[in-house]
Amino acid sequence: MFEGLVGFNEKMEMQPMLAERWEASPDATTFTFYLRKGVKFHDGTPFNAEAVKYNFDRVTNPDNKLKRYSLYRIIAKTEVVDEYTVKFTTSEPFGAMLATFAHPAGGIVSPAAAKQGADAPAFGKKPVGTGPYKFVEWVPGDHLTVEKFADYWNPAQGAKVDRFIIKPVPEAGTRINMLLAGDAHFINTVPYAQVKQLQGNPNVAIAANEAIYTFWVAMNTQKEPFKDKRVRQALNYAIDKQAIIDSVLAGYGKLADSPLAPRVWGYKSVKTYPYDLQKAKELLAQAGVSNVKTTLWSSDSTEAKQVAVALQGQLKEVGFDVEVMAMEAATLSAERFKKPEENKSMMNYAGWSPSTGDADWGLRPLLSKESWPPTSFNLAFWDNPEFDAQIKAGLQTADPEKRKAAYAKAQEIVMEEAPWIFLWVNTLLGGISTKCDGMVIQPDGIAYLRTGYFK
Amino acid sequence: MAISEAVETPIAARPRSLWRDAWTRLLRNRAAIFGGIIVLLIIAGGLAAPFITPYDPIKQNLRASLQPPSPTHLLGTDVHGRDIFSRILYGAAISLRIGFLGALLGGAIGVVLGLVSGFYGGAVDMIIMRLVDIQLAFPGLLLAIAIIAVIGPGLENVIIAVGIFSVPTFTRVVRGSVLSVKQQDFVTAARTVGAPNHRIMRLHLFPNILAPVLVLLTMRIATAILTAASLSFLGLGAQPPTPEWGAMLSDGRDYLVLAPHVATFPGLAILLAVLGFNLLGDGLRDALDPRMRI
Repeated sequence: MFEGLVGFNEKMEMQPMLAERWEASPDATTFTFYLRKGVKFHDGTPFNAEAVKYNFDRVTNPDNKLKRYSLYRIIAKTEVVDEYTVKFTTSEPFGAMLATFAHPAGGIVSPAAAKQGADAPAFGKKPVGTGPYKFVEWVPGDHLTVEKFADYWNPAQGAKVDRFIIKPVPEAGTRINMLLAGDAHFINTVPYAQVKQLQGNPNVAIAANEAIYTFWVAMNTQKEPFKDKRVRQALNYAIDKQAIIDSVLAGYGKLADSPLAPRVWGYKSVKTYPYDLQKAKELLAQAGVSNVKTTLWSSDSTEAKQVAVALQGQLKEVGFDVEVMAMEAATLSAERFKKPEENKSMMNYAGWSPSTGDADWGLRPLLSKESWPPTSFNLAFWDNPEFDAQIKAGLQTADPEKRKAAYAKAQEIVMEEAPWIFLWVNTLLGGISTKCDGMVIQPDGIAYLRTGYFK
Repeated sequence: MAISEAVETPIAARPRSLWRDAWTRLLRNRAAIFGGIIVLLIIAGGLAAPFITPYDPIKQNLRASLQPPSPTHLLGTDVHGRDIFSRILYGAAISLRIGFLGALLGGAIGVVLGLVSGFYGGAVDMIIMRLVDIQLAFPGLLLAIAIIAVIGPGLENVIIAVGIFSVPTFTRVVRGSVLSVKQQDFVTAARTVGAPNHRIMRLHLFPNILAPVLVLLTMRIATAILTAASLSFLGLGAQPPTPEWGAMLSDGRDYLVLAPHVATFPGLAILLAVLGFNLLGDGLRDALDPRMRI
């Protein structure tokens, strides 16, 4: 329904959407977008610089309490240069700004509609954007219906089917049966445990797409025995990641050779720690660590529990007696985001997808000092000034080459210092009826349906 | 011996003890024998697990994930490549332990409460029975979950939860029996000679309510095993990698279509154990209940 100034394609590459082109100042503080002409919102309001300004003034006003305020608050000022040119000024250099505009939350809404429903909930239930499909109805918990928008600005990429009905179906088995029975043409997320049910069925196909998720185990680097880099490296050697991929993930994953996934902008292939029990034991012996009792936190989803149990079994081989604590999502989040003094986290199995598709959002919230809980997700409580300096350098400029160089260095530091046990980049699985095509799950896990069609 | 018996019997036929009588009746009950055999097998399996299992129950072999039953793995392997046969045998010991200890804990508390309630009557009886009613108003499993939520997950806590939720059933049964037994002459006699209350309860009432308690205990073991498995299924009981049947069943849930053996065998184990204890319990009741003698 919505489109941003820029967006991602199904490989997480940045593409022009409502902006035809853009410029950034070398110091990464001002960003100018040249907008597409002749675009209309679903309610007929013309799309122009005023509309863009309205959108970003709306999200950057803390009084509106919008969910993505934190993502965009870096924008200090939005100016209308002329009807189709808009200029953003950030409060500090922010090299990752472009990707932030491409985040799904960067979709532009119709100012007329948003103003009409001055109270946000009304608008939230009847959204108006510029996309190829427009809103019809939403029955919370049951379905969302959208239909073809006839006046879409880009007929070539316009709607190819009349309407989509999107239903939330939490139980995976039910989703799969709906697909197999022909009640659904596309389903998002087929658990690895059940993927074989789709294989070999002539009426359905697996829509597999490599994710921008990386999965890892963060070790609390502020506590023993994880203060010692050798211990952290040893555990990296102690895990047979490929065996877990082949069993628990049914083969749908590949070894992580960086804290970032290959499809994240700025990714560099650094190295993997091969499975080498001997080496692991040597390193632990050097560090003088043996017979450790510790805890591993994970969510209570089937997959997370299976991974945690597999890790538990393998860590036992090197003398780590690990208690798996699989917690329900709300409890887990509450425990994880406790202040450092109260935080009981030792090892944490987690995954992260930087939804801006940019290296900054894949590293900074997870590993920089400023991101220690409760602020963000640095579950390793890692504190490495060298790394932080590279992250900062990456934001000081909008020059892609300079940014890439900084992030490459940052990734090398992470791999060497090993605040995490690096596991894998997974492949996201959807199911699609062979009657249709063009629908995939985006690398960030969101179903990309707008290009769907019947064969 | 044979001679002396032959001589003795005609003179004074020794009154056969009630217990021996019951035992004979039990042996004549086929269903009970069947249940008893199952129970014995499970106990034997659980005890012998460390000696007869081919694999370590928690040793993983991810390269042999989800293998169907075969001569190498009699009941196949789970997603982590662990031998399901070995896990089920070890699981038997765990389930039996929870079953026995849980039922005994509930039984111990329940018997004391029931004796006190039935013997003293009046306000004490009133208070205890209302508390029991309150507890009975909760669905059993829900109560167990609530208890776990308070004291935390884990095997020991499951025993406590199962024990607590068995208390009201025991209390009621014991109180009922005490009410009828205490009207009998030997109790009045004991009172007349000045026996203190605790002595009457201990020596005169308790032995006479033992039969229903024993029956209930057997039945409650089945319930306890089932409840413990349910709690583990929900992730509140045994924690990984403990080979507990309910937890194993839960592990197999996602593979019902592709690798049904992962869920089937632990499920069968639970079924057999519960069936065994219930049949045995039924048989015991029939054997011990005097009304059945007519």
